[in-house]
Amino acid sequence: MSKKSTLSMPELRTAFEAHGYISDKELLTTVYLALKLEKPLLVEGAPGVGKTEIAKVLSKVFDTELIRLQCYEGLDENKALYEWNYQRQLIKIQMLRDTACQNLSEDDVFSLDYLLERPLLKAIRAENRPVLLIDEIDKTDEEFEAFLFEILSDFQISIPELGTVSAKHIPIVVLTSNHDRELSEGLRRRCVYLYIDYPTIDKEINIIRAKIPEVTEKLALQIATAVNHLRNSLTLSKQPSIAETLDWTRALIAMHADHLDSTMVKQTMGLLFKNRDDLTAFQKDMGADGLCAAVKQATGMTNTAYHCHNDDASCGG
Amino acid sequence: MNSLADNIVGFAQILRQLGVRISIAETIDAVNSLTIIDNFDRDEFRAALKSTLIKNAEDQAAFEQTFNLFFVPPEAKQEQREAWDSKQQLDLEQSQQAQEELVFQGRPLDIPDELRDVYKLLPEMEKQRLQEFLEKTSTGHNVKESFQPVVENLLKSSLSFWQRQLSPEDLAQLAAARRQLLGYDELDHVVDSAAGLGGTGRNPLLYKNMQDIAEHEIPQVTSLIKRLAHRLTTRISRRFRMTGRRKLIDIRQSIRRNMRYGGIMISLKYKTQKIHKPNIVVLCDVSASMTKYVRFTLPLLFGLSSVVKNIESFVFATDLEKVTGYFRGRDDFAQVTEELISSSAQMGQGTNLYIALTSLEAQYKKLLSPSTLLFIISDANTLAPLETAGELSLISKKVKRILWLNTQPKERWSQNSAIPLFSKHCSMFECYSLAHLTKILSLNLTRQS
Repeated sequence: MSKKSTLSMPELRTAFEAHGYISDKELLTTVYLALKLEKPLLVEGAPGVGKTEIAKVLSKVFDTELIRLQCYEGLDENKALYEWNYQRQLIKIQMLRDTACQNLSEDDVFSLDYLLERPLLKAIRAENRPVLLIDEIDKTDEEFEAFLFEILSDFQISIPELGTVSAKHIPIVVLTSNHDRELSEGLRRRCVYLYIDYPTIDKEINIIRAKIPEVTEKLALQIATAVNHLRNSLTLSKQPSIAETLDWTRALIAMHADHLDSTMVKQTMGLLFKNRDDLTAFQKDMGADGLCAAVKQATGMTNTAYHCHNDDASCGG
Repeated sequence: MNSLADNIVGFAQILRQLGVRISIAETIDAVNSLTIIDNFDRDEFRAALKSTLIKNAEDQAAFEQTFNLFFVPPEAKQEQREAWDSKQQLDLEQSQQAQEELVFQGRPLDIPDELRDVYKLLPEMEKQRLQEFLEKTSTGHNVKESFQPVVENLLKSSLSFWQRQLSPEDLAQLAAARRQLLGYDELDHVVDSAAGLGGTGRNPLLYKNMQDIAEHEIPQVTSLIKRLAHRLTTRISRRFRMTGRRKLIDIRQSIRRNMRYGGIMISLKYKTQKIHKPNIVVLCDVSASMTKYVRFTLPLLFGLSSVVKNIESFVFATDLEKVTGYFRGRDDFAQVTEELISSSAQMGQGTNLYIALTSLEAQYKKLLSPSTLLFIISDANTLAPLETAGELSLISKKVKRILWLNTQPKERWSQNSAIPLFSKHCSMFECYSLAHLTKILSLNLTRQS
């Protein structure tokens, strides 16, 4: 662990801000408690709300390595913990055989040289306290979760050929879940829990301005309002996330936009909606004109300050 | 409640009464967390308790409501206590009144507490009608003391009828009210107030009773069901298949392939886990008693059919009718529903699951294999319950599992004598909301069994 291992709450807040992560008191308090209580942090929420980013920011804040275990269906112990480098072992056996070496023993091929470290073992053997990110834990099955549960309890593993390997430092563990599957009570019980919802308009404005400093205040307000309106007004299979809001903002800036208008909205909708059903729902239930009108109403802008480049309809409708 | 630790323990007790699962370890974590943060900052205090006591999104709302009711200034607490005392007093008076009114020839009638609670909720006119009935029977010609059990049964039947008219939420509240008392007035009034608020931190549609779903919410329901059903299509099996990608080394295949090189492992072979796609058969009850759930059951069939390839869908009432063709490859739910409702002979008929299951066995024998998951979506109100149970027993031996999604609240199951018979041969779950469905699919379909 770096020299910064004992941060106070205000220092943690400052550090998060310095790394461009806009947070609120609840998030900071939860992260702070996870660090202080040395418990894994379980973060749930919709995709793209900044769950994974917490682990990345923590690794920057503590100037330490981020070790990531990306979970997927069918992930097993070999891919998460360690594997033997079979090819190297076979080559070694062949070389020893070719040199007519009579002292070939198991130790020659079952040593650390032939061990392929996977994320969990890497985190256990790390010299400095790392940040271990176990991303999308809900994608794995219950058996793997039980296995992980054991690792997170003791931070030590037994490798039959080498013996027990214990962690030099308890890693900072961040688990994320999109709630695709119910996680076990046991795993939840051992974690400090954080649920991140979609941000409020004000928070999203702050995020946009922190991540994209060149955006104007007016455009940031309109974008955040528009995205918020889309999330709350439409039935979508995939709501626009913060990442999509940022992509949309960058696209609008690239098009030299200083405010939202229906033409630009039409041209950039592909950045917000990622499947045909959602795009159809938007066009059918709201449309670019409807969105512009809603933003105009919500932000209380005057007609002179708000233009709608629509061929035959104004945004006031 | 004196110390902060006492308060936290009390707070955890209230949350438990509201259905939040909190272990002793979590309570200890909560107390420990308060030694780390600034207790004078209400937001920090709230966040510390929330992150240590609440471990899923669904319980967030219960936490917020309880926190706002429990951690209040003394004067607000006093007001809450007074309101609670008045409520308790009123409840006591109503119970005494019910006790006095439900008598036969001066003797109290033996009526279960849950039905007494139903009586208390009855409109005044209905209460009057029951009292008149009791009065007339008590003073009737040649009516003896031994007639009391008959009167009790008649009254129970009448109250059970009224119980069935109550909404599931009212029933759940009645049941909760009976088990919610901790025995400490200072905690019980918070439990009572918070339980009345309900709500959730996540999508409210998840917790809505599906009989109350509005027309405009159907697309969202379908979309949520599709997402749930998606997991069914890609369940990982414990079995392996050969692959060209570098996954796990298949030692057996590698040795066999390398025999030609004198046993030197020049060419390694790999294996990976199979994607398991279960065969799913869905039997959906569309009889008269299930009509109010059609806005749940049809989107469920539609959602499952759109993402699960190996699925056969049936509706049943007096008999079985295959409807897979209506859903396959279709994306306009409204049109599918209209076609199905207008052409199906089963809609709104009486229920005979025995005949439906017999038809399934006779006409679709091939569907019932050891890899089949059989879903039955029904309120379990059917003719020939004994024969139905027998048929379920036979089918349960042929398929992997029978999952029964019962749209009736669990509180009402005790009134249906067929349910214990059916439960012997299947896994029956309460399922009248998307939250129930999520939990059922999550717990039962992601298993590697």
